Amino acid sequence: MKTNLYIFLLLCFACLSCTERIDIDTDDMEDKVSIFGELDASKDHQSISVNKTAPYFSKEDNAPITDARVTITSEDNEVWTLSYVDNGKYETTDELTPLEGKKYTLKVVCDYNNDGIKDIFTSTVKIPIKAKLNSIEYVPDKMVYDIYNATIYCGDPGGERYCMYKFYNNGELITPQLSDWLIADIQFWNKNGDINGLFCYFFFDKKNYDKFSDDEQDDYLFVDPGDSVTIEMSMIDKGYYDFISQCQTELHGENPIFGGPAANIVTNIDNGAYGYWGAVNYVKKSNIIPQKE
Amino acid sequence: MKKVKIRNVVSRRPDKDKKCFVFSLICFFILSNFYSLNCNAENIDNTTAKDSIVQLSGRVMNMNKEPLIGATVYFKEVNKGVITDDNGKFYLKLRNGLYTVEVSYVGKSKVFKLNTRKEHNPIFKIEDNTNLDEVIVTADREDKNVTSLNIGAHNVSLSSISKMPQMMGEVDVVKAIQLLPGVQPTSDGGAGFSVRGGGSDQNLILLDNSTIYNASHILGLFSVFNNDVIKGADLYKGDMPMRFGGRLSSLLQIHTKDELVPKFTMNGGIGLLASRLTIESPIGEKTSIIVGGRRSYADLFLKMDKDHKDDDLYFYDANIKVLHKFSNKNILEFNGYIGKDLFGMGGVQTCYYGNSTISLIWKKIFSDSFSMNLGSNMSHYGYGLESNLKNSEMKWKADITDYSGFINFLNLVGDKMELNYGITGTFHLFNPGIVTQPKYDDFQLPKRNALEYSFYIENKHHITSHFSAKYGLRVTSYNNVGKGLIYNFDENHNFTDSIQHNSGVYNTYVRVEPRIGLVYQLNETSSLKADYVHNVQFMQIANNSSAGSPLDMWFCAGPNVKPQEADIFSVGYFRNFKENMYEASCELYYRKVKNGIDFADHAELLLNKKMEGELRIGSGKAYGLELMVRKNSGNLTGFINYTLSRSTRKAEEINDGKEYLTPYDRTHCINMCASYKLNPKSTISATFIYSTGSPTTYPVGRMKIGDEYYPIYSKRNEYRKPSYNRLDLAWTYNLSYNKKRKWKDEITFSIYNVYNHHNAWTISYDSDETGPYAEKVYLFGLLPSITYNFKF
Repeated sequence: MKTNLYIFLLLCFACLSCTERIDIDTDDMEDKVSIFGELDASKDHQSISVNKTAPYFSKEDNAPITDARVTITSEDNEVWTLSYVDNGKYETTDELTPLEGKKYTLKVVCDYNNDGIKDIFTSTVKIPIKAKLNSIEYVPDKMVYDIYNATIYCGDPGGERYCMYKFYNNGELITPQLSDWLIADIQFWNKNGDINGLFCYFFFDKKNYDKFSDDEQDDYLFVDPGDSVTIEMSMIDKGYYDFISQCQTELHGENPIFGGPAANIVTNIDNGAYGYWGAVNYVKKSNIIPQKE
Repeated sequence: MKKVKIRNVVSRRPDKDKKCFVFSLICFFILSNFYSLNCNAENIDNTTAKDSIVQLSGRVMNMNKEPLIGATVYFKEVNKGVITDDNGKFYLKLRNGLYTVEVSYVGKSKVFKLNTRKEHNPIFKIEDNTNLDEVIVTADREDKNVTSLNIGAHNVSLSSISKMPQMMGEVDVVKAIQLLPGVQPTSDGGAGFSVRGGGSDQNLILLDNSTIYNASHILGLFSVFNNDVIKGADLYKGDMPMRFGGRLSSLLQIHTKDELVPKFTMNGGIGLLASRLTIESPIGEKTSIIVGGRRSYADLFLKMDKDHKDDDLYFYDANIKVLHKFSNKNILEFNGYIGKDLFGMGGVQTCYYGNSTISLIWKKIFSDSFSMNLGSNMSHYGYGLESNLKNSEMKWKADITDYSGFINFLNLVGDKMELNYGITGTFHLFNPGIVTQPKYDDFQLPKRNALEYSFYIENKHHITSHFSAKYGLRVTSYNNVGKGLIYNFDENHNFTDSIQHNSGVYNTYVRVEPRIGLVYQLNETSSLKADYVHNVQFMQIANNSSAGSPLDMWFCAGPNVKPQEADIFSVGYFRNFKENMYEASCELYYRKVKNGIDFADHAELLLNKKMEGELRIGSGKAYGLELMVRKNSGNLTGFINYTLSRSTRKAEEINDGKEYLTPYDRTHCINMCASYKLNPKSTISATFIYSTGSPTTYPVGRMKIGDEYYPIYSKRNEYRKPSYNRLDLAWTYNLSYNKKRKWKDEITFSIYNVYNHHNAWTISYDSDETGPYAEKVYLFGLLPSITYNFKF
């Protein structure tokens, strides 16, 4: 709800504002470790990425850490080892399908700054309950241009009431980056009842694609009538909700109207690492974008 | 001696601005001393006069020898004033002597010398004000800069505002206020302002005694004050009149016109963005009414585009004032204001916000030495968001309402003391938000009520002819009353439990605010001033951004939130030149804040029932130097001012508990504003602004998630945005000069940001195939405008 409001009011301001690139001079921070991954109960193999941080304006990509020892340990002390694949990505070699309600601990051991000392970074997460997603509906509507409201119907999720969504159009993930993911704090809805028609996002009709600026075309999602659009929904804990929210808020710097001062994104990994290890439990539902009457 | 002393003081300043600070001071004092050689001070001292009492019977007329009703006649040496009656006459008992008399009438004032030994029936002639280009509103003495007991106080005249270059042609008193020394806009083009390093919510903004909680139209591009209905504005930086309180930084009083009008007049203007119309009319002999309104019309153009024909984008405001003078000593006035902004997108989503106020004030002069002001008022600010998206119908509303009353007495005790005392009380109703949806329960943030009342007494004491003081106390009791759900938090700001209060007073803060001011008049043209004030603030905005938004909602002190308190020390040297044609001042201030409120990193402030858990309490300080030179009369008028300042905060958990710059810190700021009358028909004016860039937090590193780079930031406000500078120009042409017609009109051409400097509103970050980069987001490039103003 608040996201919609921000989009709406920022559109008003966007009409007035212009941008131009500038050079700013900042001190570069020393190298640190950044770790990111999701422990996904809907998958039988898990992965994380381990990289070094880099000066913000560096033209070089963040350097991958290739020689880390990465393990995941269940609360029953079962251990899985993740092997390096490429580009900083580590993947379980054995099958690991995390169980709902169980806790798992990630451990990354590496000498990221070549000081001869192997540093240890750990994080523990709990697999959330599966969302009781019954169906999704796409309702034709209009907000200046034709739109389709994605509306979900689901049972009471209980527990912490934070969720995230990803969308696929005809099988292709159309929200591949973290900044595209949708999150919701559904505290506004009945605590002890089904969610019957929760608006979660809207898609613009692709027929108006050319009426949007390049940036808007990058930011918004477009669909055609007849497309099969799938929602992937997971309940998440508040920590992961905050992390995604902070990433999306901080990605482009401070917002002088609706945001506070720029601040560092809070991690759940210890020992000074950046990033997050989240736990998800996805469920999918699909429906067809209807023809507009 | 003075120079040496000040140099010694500043030599202990460790910061890098020391050289500039010293240089500025030296320049100022050299300038002062240079001028002092050329000025002949005429010192009139009537306090030693032992002559007998004389009954004066005088008259005030215009140049056509018509009596002026309601003109103010002020005798400087004895601080006494009277108002002319229906025949333009006035009566006053005085000791015989030589007096400086200032006569003011609807925007015009003139100073006369009067020797009562020779003249008992003076006739003062003064121009009355009928031309559009001759509006100078001041009820102040011309040497107020020197003689006033206030430090850090400014009066903004209508003439200076109306001749200033304006963005999109809309004359704006708040934009004029932002040009004063020590005052900064909180964002480019915004209506919010910071005074001496304080937040925008630390300013009390009053329109005819009623609080305006959000003074902006169109997200801050314009203020809510219609220049056609206002008489002027007074800004008090820290040291506000004793009757007022509740804010740490300043009081901005906007006064609407308060004179009986002799005939029906209409004035207005047509601009690119909005038009306005104001009607003033007498109703009988003792009553007059002013009704004014503005309305923007961007939405009318939107409707020409078929894609936006259902969109709405407008603001409007309306003022009404009814003034009834039972006599010149018994006046009743009613004021009303309503304003609204609305943004609507295709009839699907709508956002609106607005203020409304009403006030009723009774002014009664019982005798030459005793008068009373009694009043009550209501203020309301609210916003709403409505969504009609299918399956997502929703209404979100929030508001704050105040019901206030006051009684104020002014008692002159002898010739030397002026006692001001009274009571004020306000009942605040906070409704921080309710969300209603057809399918679900309402989501209501906890409402709060508070009763705030104050007793105050102040004495302005003219101890000798050269030395005056004001001193007083304000005692305020702030009570949380009625129903209130209070959430409690542990030392880590985690929610622990809640308490539901259902009635009565469940929390009280009593605070004493002493205020003292001294002025030592070195001679008729210069003075030294000093003051100390202690201000307390019981309510503040839940907003963490620098610019502010329409969704800002106020929250009050309570069991978890202590009142913010500030100790403010100021000293100043004030000097006028060439019979008050030039005014100069140099002020130094130091401000220390206790229980200062900031918000946690990533604070969730909207629709958060446990918002108080996001507060981080700390301390703050600000200090600075303000230099100002103003030219008040002649073809060339205007001012230049320079501010050197610093503003810092320190709060738990923010910036690792270390001190950091506030968003309102500007090391250097220069404002120049000049207006030159080319001929009776044409006036050109210019405004130039330079300030150090505002503090900001830049990324110093990045982490990679997927294909995106997420910034890792520096310490809070460790860097600064690029400096801000802008030049605006305007040309006003009087179309009706020398034409014998009732219809007076003029046209103003303005260019905002003449050299199209792209001032950073914010810095954003993005990346492309070459890697991350920074972008400057700016709001206004070169912006020409044209406005047509009329009056008849």
